[in-house]
Amino acid sequence: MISTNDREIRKIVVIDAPPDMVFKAISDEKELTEWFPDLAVLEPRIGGKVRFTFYRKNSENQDRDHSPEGEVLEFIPNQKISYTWEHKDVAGFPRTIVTWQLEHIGNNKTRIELVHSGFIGAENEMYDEHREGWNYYLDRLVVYYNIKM
Amino acid sequence: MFPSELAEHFDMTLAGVSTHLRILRDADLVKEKREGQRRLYSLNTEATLEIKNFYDQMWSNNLNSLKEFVENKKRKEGKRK
Repeated sequence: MISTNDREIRKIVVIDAPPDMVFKAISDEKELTEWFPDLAVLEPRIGGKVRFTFYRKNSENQDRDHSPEGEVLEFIPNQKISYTWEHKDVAGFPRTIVTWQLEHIGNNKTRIELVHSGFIGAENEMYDEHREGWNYYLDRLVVYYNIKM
Repeated sequence: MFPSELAEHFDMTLAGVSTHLRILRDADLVKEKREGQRRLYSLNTEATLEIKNFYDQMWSNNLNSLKEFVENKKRKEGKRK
């Protein structure tokens, strides 16, 4: 078994602004592009579509832009937002989950806890945990195989 | 895991699983180790760790940008009031 650190990223940051302002910055399509992707789609409801496009800077063709996409799993205004994050065009990219948890702390500040989980980073796990990984790879394989044939 | 162990869990023949595993190995998604006559397979975790490290760095940078953006915005709105 491995520690959880091998499969998730956890970051904490305190922002000197109230939760509603922070929530808007992480969930509003227009505000997102002010600090994060070049283009943002985020439908504010459970099951809503998420797609962030990052242009390749200093590049004439934009063929190599990357666009992670997924769907909204949780949407609680001013408190929490969670969505899947996948790269369908990158072989071996796992189905990861990004979760933003906001907490109102004193002096009108907001504590953000960001967790990006679902990275497969273990070799010695028990089978049940492994199964999803193998299923994933085998699914991928079918795609890869069809391309090669 | 050995191909025979994997085959138990999929609706595929052992030969089918073995073929798939060889392709996964060629695509660098799994690692293969020979144990006598048998081949042992494991996920290539280096590939996923590389992805994870990329995102670790990316989130650090972007959380700083987020902090800057929101705090600047708050400051500007405060001035207007």
